[in-house]
Amino acid sequence: MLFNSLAFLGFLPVFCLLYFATRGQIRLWVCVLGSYYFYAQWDWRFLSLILVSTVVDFVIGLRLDKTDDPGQRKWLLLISMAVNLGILGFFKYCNFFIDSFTAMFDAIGWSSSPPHLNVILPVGISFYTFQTMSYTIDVFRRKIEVERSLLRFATYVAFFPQLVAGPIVRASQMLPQLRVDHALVWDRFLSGGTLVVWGLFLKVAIADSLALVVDGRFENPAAHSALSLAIGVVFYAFQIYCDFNGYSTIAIGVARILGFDFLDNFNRPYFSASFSEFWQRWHISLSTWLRDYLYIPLGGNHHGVGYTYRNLMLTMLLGGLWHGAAWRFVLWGGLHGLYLVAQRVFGGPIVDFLQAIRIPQVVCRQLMIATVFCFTCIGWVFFRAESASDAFFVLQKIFRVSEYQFANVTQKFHVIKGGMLIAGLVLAEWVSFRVNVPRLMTAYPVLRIVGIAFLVWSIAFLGTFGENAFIYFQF
Amino acid sequence: MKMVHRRFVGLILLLAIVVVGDRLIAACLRTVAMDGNFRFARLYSGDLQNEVLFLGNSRGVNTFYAPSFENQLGVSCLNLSYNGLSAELCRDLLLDYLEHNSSPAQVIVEVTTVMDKSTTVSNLKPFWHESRRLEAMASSLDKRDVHAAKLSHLYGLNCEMHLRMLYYRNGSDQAWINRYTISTDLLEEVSDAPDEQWPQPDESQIVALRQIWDACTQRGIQCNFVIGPYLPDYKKLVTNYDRWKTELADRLELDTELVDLSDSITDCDMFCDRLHTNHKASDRICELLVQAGIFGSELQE
Repeated sequence: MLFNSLAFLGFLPVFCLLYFATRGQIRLWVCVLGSYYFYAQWDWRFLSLILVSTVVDFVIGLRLDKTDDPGQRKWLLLISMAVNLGILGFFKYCNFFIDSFTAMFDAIGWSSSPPHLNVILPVGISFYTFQTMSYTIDVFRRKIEVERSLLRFATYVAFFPQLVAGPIVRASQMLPQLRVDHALVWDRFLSGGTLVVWGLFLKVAIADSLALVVDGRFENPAAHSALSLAIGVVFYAFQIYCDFNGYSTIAIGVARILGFDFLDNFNRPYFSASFSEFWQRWHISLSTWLRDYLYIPLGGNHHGVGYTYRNLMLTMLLGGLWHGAAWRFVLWGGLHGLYLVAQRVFGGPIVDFLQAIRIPQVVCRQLMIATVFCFTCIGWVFFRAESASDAFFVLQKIFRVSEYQFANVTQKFHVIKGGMLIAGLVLAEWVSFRVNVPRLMTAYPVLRIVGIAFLVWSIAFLGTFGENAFIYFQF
Repeated sequence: MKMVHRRFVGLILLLAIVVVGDRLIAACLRTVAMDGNFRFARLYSGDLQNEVLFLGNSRGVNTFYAPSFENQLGVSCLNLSYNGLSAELCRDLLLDYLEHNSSPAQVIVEVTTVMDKSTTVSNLKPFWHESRRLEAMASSLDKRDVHAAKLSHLYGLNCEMHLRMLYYRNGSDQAWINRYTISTDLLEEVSDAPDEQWPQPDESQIVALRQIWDACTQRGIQCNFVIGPYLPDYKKLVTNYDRWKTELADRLELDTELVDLSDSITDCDMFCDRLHTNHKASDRICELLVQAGIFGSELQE
């Protein structure tokens, strides 16, 4: 069930009615059964995986709480990780590993024809496995109290607003909120509803409209001119941002209506003046998860420059692999790892140089923002291209600036529309640095009414309606 | 109670603003667009008098460059082709044209329009309320779309066509043609591409072509079916082309020949991709059609 579907439009009010009409345990049952129903609309068979992950980590959590023996605790944690990563590894990566090893053996002259398994990738698997693993790790580290109610824990794992595409919510954030019966609060209903409409605008009006331009260019790059492809790359940068941010915003908005507070998952990432800042603003729930459960346990930046670079690269390579079972995602992650390393090596000298030639701070920052955006777009080419060879083809073509001619650009009207939508979004985000829009809307309700009306009109007039799936569903 | 009352009033106010704003803004945008020079806006505004009408899909847009024909034939021409138009939609637009305007002397159809699906009718949303035929076609394919367009008038203008209508509000849209040349990358891709076989079109599209023919002959309008040029290297890949063309002609069951220009342009510079010629081919195509003798003597004088 997609957020931008009529089915969800029917599901949400019914769920809200049942949710607010109940209390305590019954409300938790409503949450968990409603969430399972939501997930089952995609494929009910894979509810079994969510149940396995839930039960295993719940039991392991209880056992971790019962024992102080370091060896036993480590074993319990390893079992949890083995089960979760095993499920993830089998359903998401088995064919990737089979194909990669086959290619490797073929390259060294050992021909083989191993079976190719017909495995469906369950929606949301990368998200809920990471979510449950974070619980077990936090219990192991004694950072949170163990959850003793299976019902409450199951609700935390399967809560439908963030089940299939995040944000990855930490147990420390969510479980305490599940212990409280939240009443329907008018202000939360308004602010949550506003977030839902804004999220739909990002997805339906911007992301899906940009997709009309992007898809053709990446399906057949050879058929498009250099400028056409360059436009496609920039459009994809905003398509994936608006698609994913749209989903997260809807999830956060729905949760807020129900009384839950989730942290923001995006914070105007294309205004980042460095790559480390980018990763503090992009997919925040994943980047903080990788920081807390991978980068820091590897040693972070506490064991010298060499180890820091190693840890950055490993974290980003695995972060790339998390996104998809293909080498181009690993390349994308590796590229961002290189960016982060290069920033540490060259960032300081570049800033010093710019200051030495008396470039104003404001100009410096804009130059850095533009540079980070361009390099990020290069990474997105690997993310979106149908293969690594297509990615390299696109990259070599978009740098043929001498061939840039607007006459050669296909789908001009969609390009102009997309360009105006992107300009509008960038302007809105720039304004949001200077004006606290939520506070303004609370102070002046008329502004909220006009704002929501404007978004609804924009969705109707500019939206692309095809119940298109969210990009991050495939992860 | 007062707070509940205020909130209820606020929600009603929001709903009212959304609905009234939707109607008002859509009415303004529609008025501006329909008052312009875009081909279908002119069709439904009525009172057009053209000697030659062209119909087709994107190949029709690029094969029949109306200014070239007007120049060479000295008569008024109107290209009603649009990207993705199926034969069924061409038929409906022709019948609407004949209802609203004076009959032309000749209708020329780019026949590969039979290979398109009629789902493009969603792009003709701004004209659904002008044409019962287009609305019926839209309803038969997706009733939800029609209901949504009635519920939200802004949604009823949500299509590329409306943007074109605004773009061509003041200038002529008859100069719309691809003006770029096929890239070397695409030429290489075509030469390395595998063979392909074209499927036979759906019967509904064939019936639509026959209905175009009937509508023309009943009104004494000369009707010609043309196959526009293809990139030579691409045409070679279509291994069943001759059989496809023969079967199409047989299924049409009409006393007319298909004018086949598929091989007539061999200069790759005159193509923008494998399927479409560009502006450089427009005069040549007109000459070829004149040589084929499809224009009546009064038009060729």
